[in-house]
Amino acid sequence: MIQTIDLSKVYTADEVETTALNNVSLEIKSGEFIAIMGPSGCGKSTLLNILGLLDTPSGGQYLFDGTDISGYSERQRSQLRKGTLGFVFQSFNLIDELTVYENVELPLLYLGLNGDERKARTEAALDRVGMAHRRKHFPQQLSGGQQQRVAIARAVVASPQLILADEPTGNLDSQHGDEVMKLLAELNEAGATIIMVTHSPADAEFAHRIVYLFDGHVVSENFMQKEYALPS
Amino acid sequence: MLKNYLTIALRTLRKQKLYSVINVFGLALGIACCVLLLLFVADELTFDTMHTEDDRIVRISRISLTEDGQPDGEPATPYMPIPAGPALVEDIPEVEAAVRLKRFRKLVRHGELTVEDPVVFADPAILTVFTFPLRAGDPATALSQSGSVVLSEAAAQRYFGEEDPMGQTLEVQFEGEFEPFTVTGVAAVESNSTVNFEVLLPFERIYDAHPWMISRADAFTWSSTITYVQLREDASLAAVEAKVPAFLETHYGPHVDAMRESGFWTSDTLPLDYFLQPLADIHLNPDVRPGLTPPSNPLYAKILAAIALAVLLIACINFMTLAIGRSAARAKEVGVRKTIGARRGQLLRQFWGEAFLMTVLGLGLGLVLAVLFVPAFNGLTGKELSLGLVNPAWAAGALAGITLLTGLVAGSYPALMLSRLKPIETLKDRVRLGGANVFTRSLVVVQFALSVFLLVGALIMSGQLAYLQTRDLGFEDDNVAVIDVGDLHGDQVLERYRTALAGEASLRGFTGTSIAFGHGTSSVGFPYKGRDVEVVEYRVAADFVERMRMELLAGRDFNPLLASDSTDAVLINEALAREFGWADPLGQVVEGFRGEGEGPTVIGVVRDFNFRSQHLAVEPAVLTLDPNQTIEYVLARIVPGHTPEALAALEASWAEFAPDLPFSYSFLDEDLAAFYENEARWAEIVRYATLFALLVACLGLFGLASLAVAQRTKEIGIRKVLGASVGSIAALLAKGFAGLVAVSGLIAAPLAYLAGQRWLEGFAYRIDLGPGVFLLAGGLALLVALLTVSAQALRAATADPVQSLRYE
Repeated sequence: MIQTIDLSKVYTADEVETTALNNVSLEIKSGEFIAIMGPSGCGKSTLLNILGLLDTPSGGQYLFDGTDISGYSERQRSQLRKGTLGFVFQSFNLIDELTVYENVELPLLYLGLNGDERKARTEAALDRVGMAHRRKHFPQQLSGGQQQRVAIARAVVASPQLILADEPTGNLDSQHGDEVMKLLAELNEAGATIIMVTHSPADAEFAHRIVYLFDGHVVSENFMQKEYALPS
Repeated sequence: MLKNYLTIALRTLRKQKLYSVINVFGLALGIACCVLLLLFVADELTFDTMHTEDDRIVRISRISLTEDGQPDGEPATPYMPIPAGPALVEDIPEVEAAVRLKRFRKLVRHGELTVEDPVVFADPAILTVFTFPLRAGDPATALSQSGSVVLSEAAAQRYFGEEDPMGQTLEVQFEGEFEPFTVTGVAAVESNSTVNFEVLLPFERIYDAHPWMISRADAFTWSSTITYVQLREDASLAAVEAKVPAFLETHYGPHVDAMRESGFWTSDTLPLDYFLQPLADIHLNPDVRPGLTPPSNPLYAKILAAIALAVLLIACINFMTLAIGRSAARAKEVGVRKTIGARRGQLLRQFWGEAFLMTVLGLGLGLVLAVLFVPAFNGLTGKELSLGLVNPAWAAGALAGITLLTGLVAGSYPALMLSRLKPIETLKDRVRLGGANVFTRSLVVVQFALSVFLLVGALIMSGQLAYLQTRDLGFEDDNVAVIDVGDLHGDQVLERYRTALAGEASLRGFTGTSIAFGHGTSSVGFPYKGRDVEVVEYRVAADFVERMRMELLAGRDFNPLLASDSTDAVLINEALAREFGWADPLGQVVEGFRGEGEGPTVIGVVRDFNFRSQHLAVEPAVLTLDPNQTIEYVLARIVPGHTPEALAALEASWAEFAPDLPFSYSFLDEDLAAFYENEARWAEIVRYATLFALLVACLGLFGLASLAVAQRTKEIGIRKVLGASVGSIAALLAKGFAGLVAVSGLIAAPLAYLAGQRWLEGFAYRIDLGPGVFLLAGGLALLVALLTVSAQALRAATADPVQSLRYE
């Protein structure tokens, strides 16, 4: 599903060049659950942002379903993002002025779906994360774990092929963190491909494979001793 | 999707109450200001448009020509000979109808109610040539009977209240007797028509009201009526103009021949020409003297429109600066929306939509404010404006235009800037927005530059007007009643007053003059030693200089006991001595003043006195006792604080020697102040506009200061932990804004100087533009700005530092 070839990212600020990613080559198959780990500043988030089409690489190729999209314009990337990708952030990033229901519905609005379909899908997504009873609440009225579940509902509501999660449990206590990880694992079992950046070895255990980054390089890949079936 | 946008916009509005209130209120003030000023402009531009045949109506004016056929430089006058109108219809086939108008103040009576009202005598065609929709009566016949009177709706209401006025009797006083008239029509008369009336009588009745006018009925040498003509539908103005020279030759030729014979006129050309002025040109052409309504300088309408736009711009800038300040809070939303697939266009639409929503709210409140302000604005402009009177299509268009323009401008920067944000940056709080932003600062500078500009303008105008009021005019103008003797013999009236009221404690004495200052001038032109000179002449009472408290610089005052003083002596002013090049004027003869080679002898020189408006420099003038002229105005000096008693005594005495004539008076200082009425009104309007502009700018500054404080919470906390005092932190925050206001002042000052200088050039006597007014304006703006930000700065400075650092 995803293949990167010699992907690199260089930030230039005030004549100082920082290499965030250095010749990263990865292959991710459909249905995989990947955890990306490494110390702070190793380039994990940069990689996730490029994979999530929020950022562009400085060099190398990014093949999505066999098409090189590294040179896509913002418009093309945004077109591909919506409906194909779902995002989960460490800080939830719900819109404070919208209710739980409206937050989850938002991607469907940008997809241009009609009202009935939006309602059905939003309700289904909320049910799935167990937040249907809170649909009229505003984000500030929820606990961190509940907010993250809403964020996950928003990420999956448009049935994306790929879910990108950036330290999804980083702002949560262990109990809520565990709930969120189980939810992600369920989604993966239901067929979604997941790429997750994490600091937590416990969270990484939910993944099929752990990619370790250090100073912008992939230093090792570790397949978990777990059975999983690739969809045919 | 629209619902989602609206939801978020309304919730944001509610959540950020302070900013919403500042924004909506600022926009509302800007829009209210704009609506009022546009109302004024619309009124100016729609003058006379209610007359449906307006393209066929022309007013006739006269221009005086010099011997070589050139205009003599004086403005054209719309006062025409009585027979000119009918003669034009008779002689020129393209002229279909003529309407002559003459207005007099008359006592009008219905039952118990007697009111002095302006009465217009007009040809019956007035109701068919012009469009005055009759609520009752037939336009074709309403004025055709000599006993008919047509009333405006306002006059009908005044005299008859709820009664039906049709067929009722209204009396108008002619020559001391009340004449009955039957009401035959009630007309809708709009205030923005150059032809208007309250009480309308048939023109032919003017001879009953003023029998002396009978002898002028056929004279082309005496001009007093305003004359409009209606052209035939197929006729062009040019065709009529082409026939005017022959018309003039026919009607003025014999008179000019007589002038040539007696040597008053030597040229083959005529001393005058007609100027045909289309109806649409009348109101906004100040080059022709006023008819029934004073013309208006179109420059003022333009300046007002510019002020309106400036205030609206300031409100738009508020919106922008506040939106920029708030954008940090909105950035996350932009990031989320982009991440889940929003395109830039969709975000542009969303943020512009919010600006429009805010503008529509501002528009609603602004209209309410405008309605509330209309009466005050009418008092200010002397107009009768009303939001209800505007053509609805026009109003809808203007409001839609204002909304569109405001929304577009106000929403532009927030929409463009926010929609450009990169999602990963906004989601990681890496964006630096607002506050130190150069663009935001420039916007604040623009706002305050506009405010300072208006402030300087207002100060200059007020300063100049105060200067005109207090400047030494060369005579004392306060506590002087000016009594117009009308048809009476002024010298006799003066003597009677002197005898009758000699012991009156509220009066300090009387004097008299042929023309009171402020009531016009009469000048004599003659050749003096080979060049043409023009001298203003006042026939005065012998004690005029003393009573008016004028200053005699050299020589002596008139001596009533010397017979030669009335025939052979003049007092001159300094301007005349300068004009004639006399180093020692005493004993000089004003040669040519009384015909060839003859003239009175100068017995004294009076310090220059401003007999005309101070727009004009003092011109050469003489005071004479010439017995061939009469006193027309009696001047009574009143003991300060005793005006009511003095007026009562004057009126009672008047009633004894002239019981049939109304006692008509004015005050000299008010007569002179009338010269500056226009300027005073404008100074008032600019003062209010300045207040609006400054208020709206301060609203914005207040919002910006609170945002700046919010953004610098962490910095303030760190500084306080390191030992900064409350004063130093408040100063730190205030300094930035003070600097911006200072820059605004530097930008506005030179522009305001140029504009102010230009305005002052219209006055011969004016204040000097020193640095004082600029320092005052700058200081005021700075003070207001500092007061505005100080509350916020103090709040931040006194806050608990732990509170502010805990956010991190």
